[in-house]
Amino acid sequence: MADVQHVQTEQQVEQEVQSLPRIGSPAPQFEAVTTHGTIRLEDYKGSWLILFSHPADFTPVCTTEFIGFQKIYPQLKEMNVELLGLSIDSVNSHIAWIRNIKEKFGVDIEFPVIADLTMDVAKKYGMIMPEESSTEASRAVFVIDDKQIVRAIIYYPLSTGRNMDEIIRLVKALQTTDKHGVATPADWQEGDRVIVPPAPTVEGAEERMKDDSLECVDFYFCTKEL
Amino acid sequence: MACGKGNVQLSPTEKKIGQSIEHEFLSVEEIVQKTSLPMFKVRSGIRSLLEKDLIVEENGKYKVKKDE
Repeated sequence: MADVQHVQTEQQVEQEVQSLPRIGSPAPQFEAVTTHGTIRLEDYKGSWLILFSHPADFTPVCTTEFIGFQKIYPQLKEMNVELLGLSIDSVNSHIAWIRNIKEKFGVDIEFPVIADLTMDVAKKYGMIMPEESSTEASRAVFVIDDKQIVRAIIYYPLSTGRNMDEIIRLVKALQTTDKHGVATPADWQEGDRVIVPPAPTVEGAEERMKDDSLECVDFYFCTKEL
Repeated sequence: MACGKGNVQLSPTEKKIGQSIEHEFLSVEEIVQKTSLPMFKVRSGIRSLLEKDLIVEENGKYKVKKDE
């Protein structure tokens, strides 16, 4: 009986380790060795963070992604967003790859990259997909806000490179939601109309329909310009 | 960085932070302003300099340790 309980506990622990942080939950804290020295998640308090993993250094899809992330990095910094990469490679491997990208593609990678050889961070964030690869991180993106709350999670398989425009669009949408208390519709881009949260009461719904500042199809579907 | 520990290896970021607090106590935010380094780098660098015993902290502000 004791053995059964022990096995269950191990399974629970395994499940806990492999599970994803949830949207809206505090981002799991970590301290990690990176290409810019030892960094803790708490070092990013006050700024947004895109924590992303890639399968391996010196691979073609990851190289295109790193170049893509570096290209959007200045725009992200203007939005108070930092970038932090991660893979299950050593710091030396990261440094060699970053130097290679500079030499072969003329792109200087300025953001830090975690050398997660022990998979500590990857496991905390559920970045390993054992059915796909147990030794490489998948292409995960965690958007963490300035209060260190997980706000969005995106996953791509090993074979498919990520879309940088979508990552910027996602962060802009989240920051717009925070600033104005609105939601953003499908394919929303900065400058487009935004969605006003549905009225919570019958009275509110009546009021909403009379509000000239809004464009309402019905009480639950009202948009406005910002 | 004058602190009598010439053998300690410092990164360019640590040197920049050290230079900014050589003569006065500054908060992390003030160091960010003075050095134009990102906040995460200043926090990480401060922690490293504290571990190397090269700077002191007083009331949330930091300064290079004086030679004794």
